[in-house]
Amino acid sequence: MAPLLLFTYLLVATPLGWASRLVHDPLTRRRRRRATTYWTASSEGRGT
Amino acid sequence: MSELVLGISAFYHDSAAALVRDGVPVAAAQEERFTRKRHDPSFPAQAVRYCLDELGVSLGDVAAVAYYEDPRLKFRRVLATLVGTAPTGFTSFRETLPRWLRADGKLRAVQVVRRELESAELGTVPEIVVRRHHESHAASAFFPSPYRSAAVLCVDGVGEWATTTLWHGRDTALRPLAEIRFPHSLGLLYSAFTYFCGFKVDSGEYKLMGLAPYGRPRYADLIRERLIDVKPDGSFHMDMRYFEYLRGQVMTGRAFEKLFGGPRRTPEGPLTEREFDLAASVQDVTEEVMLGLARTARERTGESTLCLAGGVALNCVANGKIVDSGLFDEVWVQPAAGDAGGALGAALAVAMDRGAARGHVGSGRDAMSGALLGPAFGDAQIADYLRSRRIPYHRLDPERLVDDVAAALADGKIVGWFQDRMEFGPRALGARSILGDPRDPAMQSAMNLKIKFRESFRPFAPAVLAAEAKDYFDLRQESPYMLLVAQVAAAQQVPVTETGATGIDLLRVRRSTIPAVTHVDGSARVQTVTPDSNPAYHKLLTAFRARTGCPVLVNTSFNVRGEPIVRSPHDAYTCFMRTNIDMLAIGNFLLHKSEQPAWSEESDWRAEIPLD
Ligand SMILES: [Fe+2]
Repeated sequence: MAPLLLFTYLLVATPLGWASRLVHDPLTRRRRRRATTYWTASSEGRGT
Repeated sequence: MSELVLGISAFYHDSAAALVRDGVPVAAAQEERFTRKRHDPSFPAQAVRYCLDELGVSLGDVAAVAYYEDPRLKFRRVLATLVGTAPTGFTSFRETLPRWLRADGKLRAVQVVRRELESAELGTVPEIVVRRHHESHAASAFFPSPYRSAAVLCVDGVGEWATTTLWHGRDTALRPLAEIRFPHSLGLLYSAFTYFCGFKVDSGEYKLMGLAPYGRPRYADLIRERLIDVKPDGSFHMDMRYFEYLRGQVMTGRAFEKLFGGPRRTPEGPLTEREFDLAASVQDVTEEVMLGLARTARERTGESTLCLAGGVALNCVANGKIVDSGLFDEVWVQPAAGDAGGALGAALAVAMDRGAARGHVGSGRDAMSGALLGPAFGDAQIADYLRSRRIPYHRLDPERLVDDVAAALADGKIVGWFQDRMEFGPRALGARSILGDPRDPAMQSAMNLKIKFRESFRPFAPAVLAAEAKDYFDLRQESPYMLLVAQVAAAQQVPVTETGATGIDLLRVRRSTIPAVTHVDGSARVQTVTPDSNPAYHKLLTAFRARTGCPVLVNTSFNVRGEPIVRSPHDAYTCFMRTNIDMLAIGNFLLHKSEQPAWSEESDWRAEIPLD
């Protein structure tokens, strides 16, 4: 299991992570200095 | 024909089941009380069975089962986190992914719930409906509240993505307004400090809050500058470079240690001024954020009442600050504000969707029945147990029992009080409680050492007759679930004599007429008791008041350290015999320690109970 996981991690998760961060970080880690609020519109109530 | 909905929360922390009939909570319990494993996260098989038994129904009589969060959406968040932190989080990846993906993994939580229900043979399993984590919290906060409409605020660690949500509740509908998403989480910020101060995440938060009054918030500015950017509207953004919970299985690491000048306190190690000040600082920031969020809730909804849930709503000091701010006319906090309450909330949300009404609105009361939603034991059951074990007892009529207990309490005795239905939620509220005299300056220490086998830096909580609460506490409203902290009233404060005490010895300094329940800053975690919320408890407080002039009792949960609160007569008797409780009142039976046979156990029970 472990080698397969490592393989997936390095060859799938890592490049995917790099690529997606270039476009948009789902974890919104970068601080928006000029933002006046960190509230976002609610996503509750929408189906998955 | 009445309609039943069964709610379930499971597989993370503190599993629970709840049954709702026509929109009214009728039974609810945490699984830990049955399995005797604290915060048991496993499927709540026994709690489900109890809920159905309480109403004498089978699963076939239940219209729907509601699960308290959306496993697929939660998995997307977990995946986004694993991908988003690559290549630095392989350990987390290796441990987390299999847990989610295996046949009985978290991704298939709903199928697992179905399978578990089927194998329990409780009747035909109805459809299982999924509600979102924060919707479950919001529903648990609003639907049972006494208000026709209210602002609703849910703040916790994390469910799927949301960590903070704001809602507008009206009649039987909840409208989502805004949210703050993972990894930015007030609950996780508090947990990070809990971890850093050497306490257990998910349960030690309460201790950190109790530690805060000893310290000065000298790190609060540093927290605001480096860890969390707080806007005036209470919304916040955290700097993830200082936290480890995205990458690993711990909360904090090197960067956090560097910021606060050294490694974290080792669990059970000595408490120093640094932990006092860290606790005071994160508490200070938490209160600021909660006040900001409450202000936004007021502005966005225009409502004059607020409902709270989510783990952070167990921070009764912050709740007290919201009440004191006067932003709202009244605040109502769900007693099971943590994830156990999600079971109840999910069931309520589904019930309202299916057309249930909120019949209690307008009565001035909430729909929680004083949180007494757990199992009760009748006198016949108790007698059977006592006789089968040849336990010496006195069977008394209820008035005499209350009178004898009040006399014993006034005489400085410590009494185990086991009456009626067990509480739902983390606090003992006078159904499974250990009681004492709050006027006795030595009571805090005595109760800790005799029962919990530890010194504690926290005072106990007072239960007070609601009608006389204002004579003892600066409380603007009722606090039926011990979820508001208030200052002890000036009339009850006494001049403090200089003793030279420092650190946790400060708790021994007498500051009020009720020292056992007064914290070092003069505050107390109050429970107000009314005749309708808990009749037996109210009678006892009244009898104690008649004897002593004091309408307050010390209340602590009926358990020893690290163990769940007792559920059954057997649990209660075992705890009674293992500790130095003087007297046990269980239903209409009174047991004196001096009359009991010697207690012996084959194994060392203390070694079997994990540290809390
Ligand atoms: Fe939660």
